[in-house]
Amino acid sequence: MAKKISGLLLTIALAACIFFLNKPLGSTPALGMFLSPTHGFWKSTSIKEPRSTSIEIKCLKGNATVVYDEIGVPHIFAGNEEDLMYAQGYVEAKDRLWQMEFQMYAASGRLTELVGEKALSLDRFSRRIGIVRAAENSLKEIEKDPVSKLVVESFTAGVNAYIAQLDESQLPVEYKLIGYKPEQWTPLKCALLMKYMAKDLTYYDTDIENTNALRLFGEEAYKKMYPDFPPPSIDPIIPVGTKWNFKAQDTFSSKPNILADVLYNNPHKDYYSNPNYGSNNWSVNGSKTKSGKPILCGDPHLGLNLPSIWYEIQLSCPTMNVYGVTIPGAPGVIIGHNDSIAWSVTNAERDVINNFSVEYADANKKTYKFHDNYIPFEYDVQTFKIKGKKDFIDSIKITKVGAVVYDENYDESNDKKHIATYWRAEEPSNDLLTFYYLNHAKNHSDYLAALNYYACPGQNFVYADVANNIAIRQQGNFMLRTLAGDGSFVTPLANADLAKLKSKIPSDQNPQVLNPERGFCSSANQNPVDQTYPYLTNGSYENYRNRVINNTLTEAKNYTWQDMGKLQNNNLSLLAKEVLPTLLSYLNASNDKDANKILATLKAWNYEANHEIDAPSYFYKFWNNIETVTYDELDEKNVSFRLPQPYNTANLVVNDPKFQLFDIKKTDTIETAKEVANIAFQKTVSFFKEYAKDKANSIKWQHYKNTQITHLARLDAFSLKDIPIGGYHNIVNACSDHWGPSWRMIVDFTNGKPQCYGIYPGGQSGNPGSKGFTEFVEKWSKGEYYKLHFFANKEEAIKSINQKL
Amino acid sequence: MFIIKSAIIIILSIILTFFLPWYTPFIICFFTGLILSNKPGNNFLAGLVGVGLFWSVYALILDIKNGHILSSKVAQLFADSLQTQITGGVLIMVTAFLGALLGGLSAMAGAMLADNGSRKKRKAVKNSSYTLKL
Repeated sequence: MAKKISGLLLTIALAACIFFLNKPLGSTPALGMFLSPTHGFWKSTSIKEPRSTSIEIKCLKGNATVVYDEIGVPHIFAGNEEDLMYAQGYVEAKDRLWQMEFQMYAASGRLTELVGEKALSLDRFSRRIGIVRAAENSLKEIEKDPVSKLVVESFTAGVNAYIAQLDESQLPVEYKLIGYKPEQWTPLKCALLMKYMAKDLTYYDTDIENTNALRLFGEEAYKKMYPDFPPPSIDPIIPVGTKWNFKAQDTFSSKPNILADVLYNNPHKDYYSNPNYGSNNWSVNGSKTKSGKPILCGDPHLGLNLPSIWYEIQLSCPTMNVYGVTIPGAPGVIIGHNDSIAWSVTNAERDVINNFSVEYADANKKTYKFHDNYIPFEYDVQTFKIKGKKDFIDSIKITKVGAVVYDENYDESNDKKHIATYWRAEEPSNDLLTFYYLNHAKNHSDYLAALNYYACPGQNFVYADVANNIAIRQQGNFMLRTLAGDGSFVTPLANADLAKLKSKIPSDQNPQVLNPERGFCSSANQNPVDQTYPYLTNGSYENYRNRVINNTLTEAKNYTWQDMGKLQNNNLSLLAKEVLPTLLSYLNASNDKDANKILATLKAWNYEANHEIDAPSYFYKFWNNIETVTYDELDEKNVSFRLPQPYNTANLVVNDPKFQLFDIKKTDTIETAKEVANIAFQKTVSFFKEYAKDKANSIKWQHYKNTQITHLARLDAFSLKDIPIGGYHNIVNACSDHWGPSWRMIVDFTNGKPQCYGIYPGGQSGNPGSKGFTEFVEKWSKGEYYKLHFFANKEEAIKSINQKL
Repeated sequence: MFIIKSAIIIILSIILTFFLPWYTPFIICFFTGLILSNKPGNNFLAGLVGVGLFWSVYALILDIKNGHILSSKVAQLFADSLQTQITGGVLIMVTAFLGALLGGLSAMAGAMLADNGSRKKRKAVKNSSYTLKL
């Protein structure tokens, strides 16, 4: 009997044990499930990843053949477009399901469901700025157009077909770690992905910071820190001298900008995107190449993540054959080529956000002043499910221009500083169609027609085709503005001109050029145009990479694709070349051994930020200190400022050393650039003295910079660090610590048919347990490329993989 | 005897666990103990060895096929949060230990709940046959 009782107790204890081992506890996975070889992480290693083989997928109308090549790129051959899109959804889910879904949680502000309360502030930000509202507006447009509706629905069906045949034990390891299962994919999610990218590429607005700077420093200093057309000269996307064949029409009356008498804070600036997410692209025609045929290049610069943001794919059916990269979750190919044309994109960096100060009628804050009335807010009530806690409800005030992002419920306690934000991405548009029509385009008119669907984020689309044409257009729905300063500052919501806010410069008046005399088109996030263009083009521009690229392409003769590869991997720091000599000339002589060692290294440096040398580490720390010491005025608690572009600071150091901001507020003396240089250099020397004390620290640029490729769930064990690669901000090889060339592509028209060379820092597989997860990283870091396959039909594809075996 | 029971546990686990939840082997152990009861210690051993072998061998096969890529990363994950050093080999041992322990205890629990009347009856019959002979 005693045995029976203890038996019963043991059984109950075991049942409880298994029950708890089956549940995630906080951030610990369900250990029992997770460690079991039949269902846990061990099992996640056995997911088949086809290589050099083909599989058949049963689609909506017929079958599709997917030929996987030797690097794991799927080449899909279908009988019609629906089956092709279905197969694309299926194949992308097969490799990258977790990434596709995780991006959705981030975009929809639902990370708290996966990681708990620590993500609540970020999730609230995502929902307040309106990524979901924007996607819902976009979905309405997608469903109105029969083409985009079919594309998105077929793609969705394919993703869901893959999910349906998965059993629990075959889930990617991240699901098992966090403790959840995949949801159904929906057409809304395709739209959400586009708007998530829009946020990534436009949400770094500086109206708040500009307003503060103008108020505190005055107009003259402001223009020197943040000039619209940085002196001494710019090298815009559209060559200087290009004539505009239209007359600007501005029918909007403009009330003068009234600045509020407050200094604003931007409480969640760290949730803003990085304006440095730029990119390079260029195309040259036959006049510059050895073959007499064009070459097109593109390298988008985005956060370096695993699984990689890009995914290579070929999509082929009787009406279309295209190769390139897509973002898992978006149907079609986003950057790439077909039989006739090639294209790539860089971020336009044009300002598409307007911020307005809100005036309440009274302390109840239920109405706001708009023109001569007080209008009641509408409310967008959002519920946040939090893992392990009860739901959080956020009631978002909505005005005629957009949401009040910061108010007393979300970090802005000062009523006078509440800000309503207009974000262009919320306007209805059907941007997916641009990629659909580019995938099908055969010539320049097709390319233009495709671009006309594109609204937000503004991008520079570079183009080349088999007929030796090259072109570029900055495309987006940009607000029509001609009054200086318009759109750059916080202005009263009461005065907002809705018609102007929602206005659009006609697409054929956007900056563009076809077959320019100079034989090349290029963009690297610089000013799109010079002062002769009749509309405002305010944005966040640099002036280094563009000049290196354009100088090189101007000199280019008899270029091959390998020469283009060298340019994409160019490590020249033009910033260092232009400012370091002056800085060194400002420095006083020193007896300090360490200081002189650093000086000697800098003096001997050829300005190339190569990974195996020390000089770039010294220079960039020195430059960072120059900025910190100069801009002590910008270091105010609860007042946001933006750092001037390095190009402008460098220009002031060299050409305007008595500029007022070089003066350090704390001291009684008046400093100029010379004193700043010496103080900054002293700080640099001290820093490296300290830094060298830890034997684990290395001064080599590779280690000091520490380029990392980080897993989306921020798991160190699934990430890579200390990648041996050079480059930096404002360098053509724009490889920083967490972001850089996320895809490098060269499309060579030498043999008539486009031949693509490409690579990205990751691998086709999204499975951390797979060799394919990080397969391409080493080659990418060395500046090498894969020769990619573009098959005319499935027979050719199958023959090719059989030959290799 | 426990070897036969271990074998039964392993075979049934292999057949059933692939379409049932991860804890199925422990349920199998429990019922093996309940139905084929013997000394609880004997059953404990059967469950220990049965699931211990099943889990460790299967994990090893998967791990070797994978070239230890994922196990070293997962070991790193645990090491990071526990602030110690953990290798892939440790993970195999933890897996084996967990499976073995739960398997052994489940089988033993089943055995303890088994109806031992049958055993007593057999013993009684055996004894009675001796008495009769006397």
